Amino acid sequence: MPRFTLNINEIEYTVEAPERMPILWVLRDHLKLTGSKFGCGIGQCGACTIHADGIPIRGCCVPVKALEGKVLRTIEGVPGEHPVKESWRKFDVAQCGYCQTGQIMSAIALLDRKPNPTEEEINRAMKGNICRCGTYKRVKNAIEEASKNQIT
Amino acid sequence: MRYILILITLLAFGCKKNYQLTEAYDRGKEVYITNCISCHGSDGSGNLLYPAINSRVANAMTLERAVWVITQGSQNMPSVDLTDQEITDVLNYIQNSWGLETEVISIDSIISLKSTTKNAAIYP
Repeated sequence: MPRFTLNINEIEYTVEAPERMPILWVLRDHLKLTGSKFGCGIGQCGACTIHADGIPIRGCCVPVKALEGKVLRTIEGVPGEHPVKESWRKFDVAQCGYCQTGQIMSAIALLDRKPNPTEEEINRAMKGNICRCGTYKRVKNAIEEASKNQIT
Repeated sequence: MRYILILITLLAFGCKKNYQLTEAYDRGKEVYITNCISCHGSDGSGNLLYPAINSRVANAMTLERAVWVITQGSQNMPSVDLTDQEITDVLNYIQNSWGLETEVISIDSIISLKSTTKNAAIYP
């Protein structure tokens, strides 16, 4: 099986995996980074969202070969005192919590691109993350709060 | 003086299209990042599992077919739940990125295409 060198959360990992294996399987099964969740498997729910070069991607759709040489970041690489995580705690956003790692990764990517998003921009960027508990209102509030608190 | 006036008029006309396009392009880029980028890639080149959409061949796809694929899905691609405005923006983005350039698509043309493609599968 081919070997891949991946830069995840500023650590270099070498993994042996089929080149078509989606990165989510590599993260969860090979590297035991189980923060990113498996939801639908077809890129429709957003639970597996990670960053590749700062862009939010759905881990279940992207084969490991396509991510060689990119800077990957998973929820494990986001420090606990990150403004988005702080406001997530403040608004007590998570209910069952399964989708939340994906929500947070999408939110961070949005704030990196647009530090002061409008409501419309938040809705557009978070559309790919589905929450079965319906925490959307709190997610939006938390993003608005985080956009005020982030260090620029 | 006359030349300046002509110049201003020309600039005004020239900018109108660009202005429309820049707005749609920026919104379309956001739609693309949220809904398309995982499978089709940041440069539209796809990946091992999903097709490229940046080539002239892929862009030769008719608008009808593109709207059909987005609203109804195709093979491995599930349908994407986008508003008419989002479809317009993302198509404007795709057709004017990665070295491609096309006419600005209006939302009205997308709405009429949606109604004509509603009940019939359209193949490339």
